[in-house]
Amino acid sequence: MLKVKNLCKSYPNFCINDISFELPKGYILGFLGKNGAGKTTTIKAILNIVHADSGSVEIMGKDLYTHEVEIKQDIGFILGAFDYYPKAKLYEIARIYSDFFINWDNQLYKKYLKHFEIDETKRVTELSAGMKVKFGLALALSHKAKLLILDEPTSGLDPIARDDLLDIFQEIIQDGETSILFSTHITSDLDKCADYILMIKNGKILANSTKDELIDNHALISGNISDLNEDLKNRAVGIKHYRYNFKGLIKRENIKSDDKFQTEKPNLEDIMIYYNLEAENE
Amino acid sequence: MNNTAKLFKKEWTLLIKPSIFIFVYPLLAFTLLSPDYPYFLAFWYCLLGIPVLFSYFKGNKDLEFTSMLPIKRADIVKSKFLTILFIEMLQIIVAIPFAIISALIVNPEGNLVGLDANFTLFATQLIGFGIFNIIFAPLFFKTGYKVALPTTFAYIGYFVFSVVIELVIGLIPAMYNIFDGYGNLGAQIGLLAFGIVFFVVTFWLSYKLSVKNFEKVNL
Repeated sequence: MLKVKNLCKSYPNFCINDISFELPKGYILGFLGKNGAGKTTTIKAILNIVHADSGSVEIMGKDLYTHEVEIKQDIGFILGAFDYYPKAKLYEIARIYSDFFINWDNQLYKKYLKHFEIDETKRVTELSAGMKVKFGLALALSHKAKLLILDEPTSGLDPIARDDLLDIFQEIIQDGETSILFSTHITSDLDKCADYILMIKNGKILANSTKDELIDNHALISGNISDLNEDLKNRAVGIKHYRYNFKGLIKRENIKSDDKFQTEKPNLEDIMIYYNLEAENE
Repeated sequence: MNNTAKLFKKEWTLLIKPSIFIFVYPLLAFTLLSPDYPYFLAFWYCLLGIPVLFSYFKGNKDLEFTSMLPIKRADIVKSKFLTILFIEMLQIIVAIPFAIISALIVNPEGNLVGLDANFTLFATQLIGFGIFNIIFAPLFFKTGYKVALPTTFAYIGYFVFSVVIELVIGLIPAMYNIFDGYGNLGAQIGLLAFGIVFFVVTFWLSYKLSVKNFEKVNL
């Protein structure tokens, strides 16, 4: 469905470097990274809104750069909350937006409006932060896109709305034809619904695998501070020191039989935190 | 409806609708009815409206929204050029009846402080608009958000040309005899034809340059 190869884009003080990954049909990929890690830049480069310096993007078997207009008919995307035309009424925006999409389904759009409890006669500026996200989603979801690319769709939503949205994502991929890529720094969203995880830090890929693999391949460790030696520090992804003990994350392949620490199954939040800890130690 | 037409519709639905100035400014062409006045100023009001409109685009994140639509970047530029063309042509068309009244009733003896309301005036202003466009639009589309600097340079280009051409025709008797006043229609209409060609060519060139610049912009 989506194949990204060696995508690079450099700015004077930042670059995304050699981003490659694939998202198969019918799955959800969670794009994880802390603020400023390069998630939005990567997404914009995938959509050709920011021009990549090198690399290629293939969507539904077609090269994006040569079939951009055609491909964009079949993808829906939002870049954060909907904050365009603050003084325009929502129905005016929707009417204009829908004109451009061949597969626009007005009934589906109305269904989402009802579901999200959006009043179409309001102006954009009258919407709360969460409502702005929902309006953007209603637009992006209503033209039967085969691929949804959503930048931070859950930020600004309350826990109930987030959970509801994740259910909608699951519903959308039920048909086995639609894929979703969404970026977030809220790891619990991905715990709930992601099949694949792409984690980036400073514009580089840290992890790219299924969520289960990622979790199974790592262990959360804790032990007495006296058992923490240089060798272990080098093998670990990240270590936090406390007065009498330590906690850390390690790849299971790096555990030795004589290691004296307790292991636990990590969650995505642990993995994200310890990987970013490493960044600060470097 | 093709994409350019849809985009043009979008401009009027979401952006230009509240901008009464787009319609009020051209009406300031009534200053052609003043007895003695630098008549080229009757045309420049529309050039006030264009940068204001482009600030609207910026304030509404119009280019960012538009980049979410399944269209080519060139189409975004094309729709903005249609808007510019509309505003400038509206200014010219609204000026025509005022110019006729000025020439026949108000000021048949001629304007003492510049060109009369004749074909030469329209020709020079079409050239002036062409100069404004070719400076303003490609500079704006270099960034997609900077309006003030392109506006400043474009105004300088427009005013330098308009003042110089007034001085050249006003101060050189050979030019004055042909291009000012309401006689010598052949030469003046010839100049008008040149003005139209100049406007069309620079408009097309501005569009091409703007597309080229905008393709490189990271939104």
